[in-house]
Order: sequence, then structure tokens, then C-alpha cells
Amino acid sequence: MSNLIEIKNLTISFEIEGGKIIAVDNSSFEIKRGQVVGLVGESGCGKSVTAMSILRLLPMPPGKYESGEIIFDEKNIRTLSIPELNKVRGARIGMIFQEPMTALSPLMKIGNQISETLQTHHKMTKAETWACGVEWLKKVGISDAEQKMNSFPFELSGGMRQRVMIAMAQMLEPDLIIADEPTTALDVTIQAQVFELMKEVRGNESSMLLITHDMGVIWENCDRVIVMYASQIIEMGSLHEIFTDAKHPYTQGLLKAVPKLDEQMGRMETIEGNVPAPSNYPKGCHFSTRCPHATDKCHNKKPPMTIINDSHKVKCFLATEEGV
Amino acid sequence: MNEPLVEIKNLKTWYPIKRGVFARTVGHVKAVDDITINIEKGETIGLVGESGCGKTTFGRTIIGLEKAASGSVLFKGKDLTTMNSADRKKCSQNIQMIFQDPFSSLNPRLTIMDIITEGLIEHNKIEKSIEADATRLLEEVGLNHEALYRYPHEFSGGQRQRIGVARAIGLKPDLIICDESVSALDVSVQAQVINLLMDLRDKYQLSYLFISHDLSVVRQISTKIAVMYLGKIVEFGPTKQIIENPQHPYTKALISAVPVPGKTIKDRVVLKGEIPSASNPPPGCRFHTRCPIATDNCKQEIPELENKGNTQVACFNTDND
Repeated sequence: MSNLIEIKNLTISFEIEGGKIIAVDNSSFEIKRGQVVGLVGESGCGKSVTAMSILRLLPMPPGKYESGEIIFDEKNIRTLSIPELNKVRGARIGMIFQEPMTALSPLMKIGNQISETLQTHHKMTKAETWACGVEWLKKVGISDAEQKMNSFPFELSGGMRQRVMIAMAQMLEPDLIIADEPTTALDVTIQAQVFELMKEVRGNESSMLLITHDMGVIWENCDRVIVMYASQIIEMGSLHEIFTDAKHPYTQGLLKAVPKLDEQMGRMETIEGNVPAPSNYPKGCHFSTRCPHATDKCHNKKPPMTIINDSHKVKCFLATEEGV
Repeated sequence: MNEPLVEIKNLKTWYPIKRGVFARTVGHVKAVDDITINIEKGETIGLVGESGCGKTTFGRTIIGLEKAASGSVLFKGKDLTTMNSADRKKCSQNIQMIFQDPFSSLNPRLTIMDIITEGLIEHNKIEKSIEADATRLLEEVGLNHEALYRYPHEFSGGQRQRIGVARAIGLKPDLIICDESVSALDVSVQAQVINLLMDLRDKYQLSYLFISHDLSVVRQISTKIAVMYLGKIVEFGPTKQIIENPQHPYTKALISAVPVPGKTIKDRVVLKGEIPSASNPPPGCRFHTRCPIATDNCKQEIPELENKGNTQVACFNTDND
């Protein structure tokens, strides 16, 4: 299958008081048509910044593209003019944010927000957009949709608001949906509903970049997995490769540290130490300060991305030399 | 059998809903509605449920941060809800709390030493010196004494949560209420704090009331699990039993909804609809509006928590499915 979007050597920095920090460090990955790619990592690792940067949603300054290309439809999103960019936003690449309360305007009725989105991208009358809105709210399982079109976001529950977000992202039929922790704020029974719904309305053609910290969510929804740690992509591979044959010590540690529902594990496996601060990343491998296998080389040199096979890549010296 | 450490009987915490010019009470939010449960020494009870089900209010009522509308909380036989403030203060050192948000639960203007010894000073429990006691507590939670004169903002989320733990164990409590204490932490750090809590439990024979929405975490640390729905406990029993062989339809749905890495989804019960408002709970069984096996009887009568094998279940229809 062809690549829908290709991110090449993306580096993003933020200016902070007294200096500059690198939030995304030389990331490259691609998403194929119809694929669901999971982006997993701990807070502050740069996964949300990666997501926001794809649609140029980061405030600049303080943010800055240091380098890299975002190739979508043979065009580099970074160099698009604003009118061209606005045709991509929403219509070709949709976005679902973590907290629907802050992503929806609190002062506009749901119906008006839906109309606005539709009218921006299609030549439609208000009445047509309204009818379309009702239809989509029904599709995402909102009962009494007509009435909900006249509601304000605060009148809806969290799960309901996330359904509205999904409807708004999906109704323009984008090729790619970027979902940034779409269910983190929701309860687990509602999370199950939302993912089932997303599968249903997405269809087979469109792709998704699913950002989450929850390995269980990745497992159930993704075809491929990208693991980020401290601003870098440290491993990527098919779902199967990551879950059964992870090469990077961080990925391995992360998978072991996840509490499992179906097993009482006694003392939990942990990764010692804490994630280093962005202003204070180690000189060599970013994981070297916490890695149980780190050598002198790891502390001093940055490991390159090593290709294991067509889909599986890892950024670790040890994974290639003698195996971990 | 010994007397339980804490005996909670028919506990209700209701918040009045006030309307109009004279702020007339027009109804109540029944956040905790008639809960009876015992906590034994050394036992960890995991309290699970979805947001808004009243689990936090329940924890806060036990420790006295919310006032109970009725019912009693007997701590070693003495009722905390009717006690005068002097006795209450004496008792309060035996029950401590670790909060969810490691950022807002530590006073940003106090040094770590001040934070973790505040309770000791208040209760005259300083053993050697403030500094020595604080150092000992920090070591207990895996931090070193360099932290003493630093401020909360200098620490990461995981370290702050350790400081919260140090503060809680300072007074050598019998019961610690952990309210979503590891929910805000990243997986790798979360595991460290869970281990710390388990180590301290074994060392000091602590009891925990471990409130969490994350069943996988609760599974690791709890000896028993209580499942709450809209202010009521719907199922209560040994951890293994609840996870592997849940009886109540809500527990079943809750457990089947948890995504487990490496497991294929089978028999997932996807619940329809959402949790109703606690200010206007449905009559009869509160779960009947979303229950896949509800009958007419469920819409009228409230099921009581009854013994079924070695668990307690509040459901009319558990036998016949």
C-alpha cells in the first residue's frame, strides 16, 4: 500500500526562558492508507507535539520547526500557504483532541459548531448543514440528536462530547484522523463504546494516528506501533513485533511495567529512575541513564536508527550487536 | 475473628441541591448511599467504579473531609461521625490520605521537610529532631535527605507522590486512604509507587482503601475489591474472585471493557448509554437503565448486597444467567 503521509527528519524546538529545548528530535515515520498507527510514550515525550506539528497547530513562537518535511499528497505541509493548509485541515486530515470540553467552543451550540465546520469546507446552506449534523450525531449514537444540536457543550457528558468531536472529525471524511488520547478522559466502559464507534464510522480506506499512553488501547486498535522516549522515536514495528519481540530495553521495560488485569504479578517490574528533563537529556542514548544494559558507548554516543526488517526499526546499540 | 479495624455501617453522604431565592433544598445528590463495609487490619480494599460514582466522596467521608448524612464509621469500635473534635483529632492520626494529584496536594510554599513533618509536630510525635525524623521518612520512601530543604516544584510527579506517601506514613497510621494515588503517573513510575505501597503495607501491617478507576492497578495491590455504581456497592469480594468470576452484570461489563495487551477481545459487554445523574438516580436497581439482563422487578425494587459464595452481590438475576 502507498504511503498516505510521510514525516521525514522532523525536529521541533521550543524556546524557553534561558534557552531552547528539543521536543521532537529527528523523527521519521510514515502512515499507509488504511492503517492505524499507535504512538505511545510517557508524558512529555513529545507525542502530542508530533501530532500537533503535522497540521501546523503549534504556536510559533515559542515553537519552531528546526528541520524536516511532512509530505502529504506529494506536498510538504510545512511549505503550504495558509489557504492551502486550511483545505487540508479538517477535510483531509481530521483531529480528535483529548479533552473535548476545551476543544469545543463553550459559547456555541453544538449545531452551530457543526454547521461552521461543514460550511467552511462545502458549499452548503445552513439548513443542509443542520440536517447533515443531525444525521451524524445519530450515527455516533447520540439519541435525540435534534435536541442535542441546540445544546451547549457543557450540557453534555464527557462521553457525549467526545462523540460530537468524532462526528465533527469524521463527517468531512478525511483520509487521516489524528486522535490525541481520545479516551483518556473517559471511563473504561465509555472508552469501549467510543473505540467501537470509531472503528464503525472510519471505514477501511482512512488511516489513523492514535496517540495514547495505554498499551491496552494500542493492542486492541493498532496495526503498527511507534514508541517515543524523551523526544525521540526509539522503536517502531508491527503490532506483533512490538508486543512479542520488542528490541529496545525501554519498550521491553514499558511492556513489563504495565499492570495486567488477568494476572497477579506480585512485585511489579519497574524502570528505575525518572524521565530526564528536556533541558537535561543525556549526551548519548536518551535512555542510557535508566537502561539496565547501558555501556560506556551508550552514555557517550547517540545510537542510530537500525533497520531490523522492512517494518521493524530500533534505536539501540545493543539490539544489533549481541541482542538484549 | 478479631474486631475489624474500620466498620462502616449504612453510611450516607448526601449533598443538598438548593434552588430559588431562599435556597430551599429541592433534592439531594446521593453521592454515597447506604454503604456497609468492613476493613480488616492489613487488608487492602480496592474501590473501583466510574467517575461520579461516589468513590472519592466515600473515602473523604471516612477520613472526615465530608460530613456523613447518616450512618456510622467505627474506627476500632469508636464512631468517628459523632465524636467531638478533640477525640476526632486524636483518632485522625490513625487514618491518613494520599491524594490523586501530586501537584496540587503539596503546598508549594513549604519545604519538603515542613510538608512531611507538619502532622508530626501537630500531634507532638517528633521522636529525635524534625530533621532526623524527616530524613528517616524520606529514606523510607526511597528519597534521600537532599530533598529536605527543597520545594515541591523541584520534583517530578513520581517523586512528589513519594513525598505524599512519606507524609501519610509519618504518624504511623493504621489505615491509609489512597485516592487515585497512582493514576496521574506514567506507567514506569506508577509501578515504582505501587511497589512502594506494597512494601510499606507488609512492613507496617497497613490497611489501604485503594480508590481507583483502573482495574489493572487495583488487581495488583488489593486483597479485596468493592465495585461501586452510583453511590452503592454492587459487588464485594476477594480480588481473584471478582476479576476472574464476576457476578454482577456491571462488574462483568467493567472488567470486560479493560483492554489487556496480548489478549484478544472476546465476550466484551459494551454497555449502552451512560451513567445516570446521582441527583436523580433511577428507581429500583440503579444499574437497570444500562443492564443487559434487567427485568421488570429491577425497575422497582432495590437489590440488597447479599452473600453469594464468598462474594457479596447486589443483583436479582445473578443465579439465572
